[in-house]
Amino acid sequence: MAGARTGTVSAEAERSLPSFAFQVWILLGKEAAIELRSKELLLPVVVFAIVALVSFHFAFDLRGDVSPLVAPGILWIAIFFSGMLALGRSLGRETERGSWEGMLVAPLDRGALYLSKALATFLLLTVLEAVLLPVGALFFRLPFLVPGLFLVLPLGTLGVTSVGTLFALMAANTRAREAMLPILLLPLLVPVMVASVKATGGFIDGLSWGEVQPWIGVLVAFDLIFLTLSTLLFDTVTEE
Amino acid sequence: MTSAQASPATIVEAKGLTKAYGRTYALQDVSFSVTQGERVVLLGANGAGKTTLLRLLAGLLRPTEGSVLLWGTPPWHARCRAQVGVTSHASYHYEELTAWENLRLFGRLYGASNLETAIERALERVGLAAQAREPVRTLSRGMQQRLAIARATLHRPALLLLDEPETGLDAAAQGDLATFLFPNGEETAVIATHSLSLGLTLGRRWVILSGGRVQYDSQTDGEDQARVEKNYQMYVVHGGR
Repeated sequence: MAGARTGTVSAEAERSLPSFAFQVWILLGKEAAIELRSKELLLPVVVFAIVALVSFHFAFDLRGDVSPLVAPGILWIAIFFSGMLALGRSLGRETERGSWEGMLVAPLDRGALYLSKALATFLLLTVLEAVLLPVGALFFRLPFLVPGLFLVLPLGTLGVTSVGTLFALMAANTRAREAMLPILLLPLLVPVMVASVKATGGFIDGLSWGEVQPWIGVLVAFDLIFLTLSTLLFDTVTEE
Repeated sequence: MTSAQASPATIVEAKGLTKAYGRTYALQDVSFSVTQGERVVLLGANGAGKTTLLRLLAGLLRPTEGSVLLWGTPPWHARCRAQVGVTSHASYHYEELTAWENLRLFGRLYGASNLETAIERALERVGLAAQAREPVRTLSRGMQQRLAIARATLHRPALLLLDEPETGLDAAAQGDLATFLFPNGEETAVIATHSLSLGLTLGRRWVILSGGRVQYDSQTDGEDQARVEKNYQMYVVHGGR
């Protein structure tokens, strides 16, 4: 077109956009408001985890010396599978209802979108763990409320949510997402699972910090690597 | 116009746009531009490529071949998206939140100024002021579409991309659609619709797509409505026969 000139993006519009941290905050508020009203994630996840714990308790007849050996594993299996349930449902309902696309056309940093989802699931699982620990202590007659666990639980939970959020989005775009998420996610979570179980068992058995520290190191490294990678890769994964 | 300064600025520039899904081509070699203040209506039958074209312009899809720029920038950049308002087949709302809360959420994400006032005005304009505090899940399909229009226009975007904005609206609301969408009357928009009559009302330029290709563009092929109707009959109603 003769004489045509290309318009420019308004600098004012760009300046008025919320910062990365504020985007995360706004989205986290949205997640909290939706969950507080619907309880669509928390209730099923808590019920599922407690049922899993009780089922394992009766299936393995956990009494006496066996309990300290297997209880940490059972606790983390309940947390891991509950996490997958929450992640699958959280992203699944957004893609099903079309609200996810609304987020994709918004002027958001995709990293903020990822972090808000991961943090929301992390908080949800933290609430679950607050319920699960006393129930576990009651069933397995173990000191699940030792201080060291308050370090292992957030680190292990962050491991699940950091990778899980990325893979839940990949699975949400497939037809058999409920089956796809565990298939994609579980092999990657083996290091977190092993480190979380070992560290939890160590703290319950009263091992020294030096003996448990390597497992904590594995969890910290895993969380840092996958939080960074997932924040960077989320943009690519959200491309159709 | 001879001066480059006096000509309207180009907002959308698509060159050789092709989108393929495997061996199926949804869009083939589409080139067109939209200048400031233009209101382009995309007409076409199901599968003509209207939605694919809008999704490419919105940055939701990446082209298989060719390029698309908004204000000279790829549309997936946040600074571009901040100035675009989109309505789609999905309403984009969170049904647990109220109409007001949904608009507040999107308004904050788009950095809309004077947000509370802007929300009130947007809800009034689309006739939803009375439903502002009701959860979206309790609203009818038509009301949800009105809310989608309020959301898309809340931040006063410089470009509107509207995929069948009339969906779910009753006859009265369809009559008010131009007021809902273009309160200032000068907005730039690309609108996809099946409805020729609505397209003629809303548009100032008409593009007919068929088989993923542009078959008619009123800018180059003649602007009178009779010509638009004739080409619509040929390419949309009779499938190009």
